Amino acid sequence: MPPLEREAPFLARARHGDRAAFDELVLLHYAAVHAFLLRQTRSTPEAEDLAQETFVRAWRSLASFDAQRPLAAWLTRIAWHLFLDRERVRARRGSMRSLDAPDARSARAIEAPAPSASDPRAQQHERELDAALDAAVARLPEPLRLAFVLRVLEGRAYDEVAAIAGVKPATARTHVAAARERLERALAPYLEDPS
Amino acid sequence: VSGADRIDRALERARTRHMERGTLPAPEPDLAAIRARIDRPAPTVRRWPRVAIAAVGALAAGIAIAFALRALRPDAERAQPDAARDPIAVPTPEPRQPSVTVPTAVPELLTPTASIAEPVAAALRAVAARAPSDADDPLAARAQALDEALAEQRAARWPIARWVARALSDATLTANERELACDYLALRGDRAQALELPPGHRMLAAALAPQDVRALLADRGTSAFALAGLERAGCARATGIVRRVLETLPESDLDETARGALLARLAACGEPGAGALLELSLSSAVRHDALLAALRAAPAAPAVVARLARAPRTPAVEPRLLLQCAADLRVDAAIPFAERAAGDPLLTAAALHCLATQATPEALIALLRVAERGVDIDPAPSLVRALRVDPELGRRALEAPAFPRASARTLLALCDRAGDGAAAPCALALAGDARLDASERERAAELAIELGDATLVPRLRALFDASGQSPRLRATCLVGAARLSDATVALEWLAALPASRRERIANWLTGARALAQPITTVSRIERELTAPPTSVSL
Repeated sequence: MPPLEREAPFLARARHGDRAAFDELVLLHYAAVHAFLLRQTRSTPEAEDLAQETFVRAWRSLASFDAQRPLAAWLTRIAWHLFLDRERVRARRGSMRSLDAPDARSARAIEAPAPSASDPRAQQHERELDAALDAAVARLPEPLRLAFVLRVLEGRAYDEVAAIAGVKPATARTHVAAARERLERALAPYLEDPS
Repeated sequence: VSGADRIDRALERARTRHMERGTLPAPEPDLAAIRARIDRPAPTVRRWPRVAIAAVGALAAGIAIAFALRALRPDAERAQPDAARDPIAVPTPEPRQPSVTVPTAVPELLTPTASIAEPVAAALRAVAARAPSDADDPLAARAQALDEALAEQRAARWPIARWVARALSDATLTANERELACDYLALRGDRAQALELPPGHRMLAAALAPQDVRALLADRGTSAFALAGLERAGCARATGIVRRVLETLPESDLDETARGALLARLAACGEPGAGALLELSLSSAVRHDALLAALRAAPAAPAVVARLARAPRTPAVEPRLLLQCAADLRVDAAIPFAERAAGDPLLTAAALHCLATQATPEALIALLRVAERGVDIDPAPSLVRALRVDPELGRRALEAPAFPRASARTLLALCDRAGDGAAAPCALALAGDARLDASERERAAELAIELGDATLVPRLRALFDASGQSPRLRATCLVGAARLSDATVALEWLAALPASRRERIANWLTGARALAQPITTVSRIERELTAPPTSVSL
């Protein structure tokens, strides 16, 4: 059964305050929301915390949700805003992080794949370029960053990106192109031949 | 490796890193925790009173106005204090420090001298004077030639690109030599170096990199540089640039003329260009009618369409555009592809159109097979379209030895369903075809007479002569000739018949009522034609 049809009865009951129906919706969408947040936060406890908060917010705003739109996109959008809020709070408070969460540098060192270049200098150049790319993505304006992350990093279709971002597909396409252009400008100093 | 490639690779690595993060299995949702959070009252947000916000805003505006007024104060007020009035304000010049001794090799490399600039300028002149190369990438060939001309200097580890950039300030260089220098910088130098050039030279050099071409095209004043750069670039390079530009530049940022020029450049780029035009169909950046118009003008398009249609795997091309292109360019190698595509309900119309416009016996046989399998769209109008392109198509197809009997029956059914005059010659050809049985052939002849006009009469005569064993078919031909032309024409065909029989047949053929009831008339004439000869009593 398609997801929309499967969730429709639960959604209708949840909108009338049925907690059990809302639990069913949580069971249906929790894994996707958690995976999305895990990719953004790189921390399992933080992803769990934000995923729970996502469903709490969803419950509180369920009355304003347009049932014609996909619930998954709406939840992803809430999750993205929660993640951004958490990032802003962290930026204001300095670089304090949970002891459970590895800092960005160590996380990158752990998960970085083996560099494709064999020359040590070229490897170092690749690492610098990757770090600069991550930093440049984090500096992108919010709508451009969301479109870029969803389309380029997660490989989602433009229709899905547009549904999550709440814009038209053509606008999503423009956002991705603009984000890419900004990244190219930001990375220009790193694009010289390392040899 | 170009900068764009490095970015692409970095993005690929970033994508891999990003997606690997989410591969851990998700824990079971803690429903109790979520319920507890829902039940917890939402935290109250401390808001600033509006008066405080307004006060802070007013203070900020006041500070901004003060700074603005200070910046706008006349220069005289901000003049340096008079040295006589305020001698302390005049800084005492520091004694110059002795200059640092630098190795002699460094200034020789970095400072332009006549002895180094001259070979670079001479090489530019020599290469620019050569005839244009036939190479696929003439820019690369010219850069290669310049490298060869400066082989000695390269061996001595001269920074050639930097020297070529400096040579651009040489007033004695011609326009062609300057263009060569700009091309060399675009290919061999780095982007920062090209961006430091004076505006005209910068634009020439920028016209060879996708991101710069995109920027040049977005501005009407500089789009001519981009188009000229693409003209200079070889097909492989121009194809890559144009494709990237069209895929990434928003439609609103490019006017129709520039878009048309880009598509025309792709069309002139042989098979790579035609392939790129077809592959652009998957991107929503360019409208299909614009792509189709460019493909019609591309000489290599038929070969590329044939290759893609024959490919064992589904090509990365919008199938509707491929079918439309195969139809417009009459690519008969696409017939099997069109026949397969007709099975897809979304492509049936385009596939039938493709088969109809081919107007070849092979395409007609494929169209009939499609009709036999059954599709949502009636194939009869497609048959009519094909028969309008070539009225002899039915006859030519029936002459093919491999034309199956089932297809002949399908063709008759489609002609019947079409009910169009274009199907009359085909129906008449079916009437003379031995694959059909007698009743089907008679039905085909009746259909031809019903749909045809006077031009069909000579063919009716041929069928009449060839149908000696089938008196009913002969009778149908006579009635047809009388209906489409005149009864006298039909009677001329019966010269060997006794006069009394001819007279009776003439009565039936000329009677208006008889022609209004052709089946009855045909039966009467048939009986007359098959009656045994009567003895004449003297």
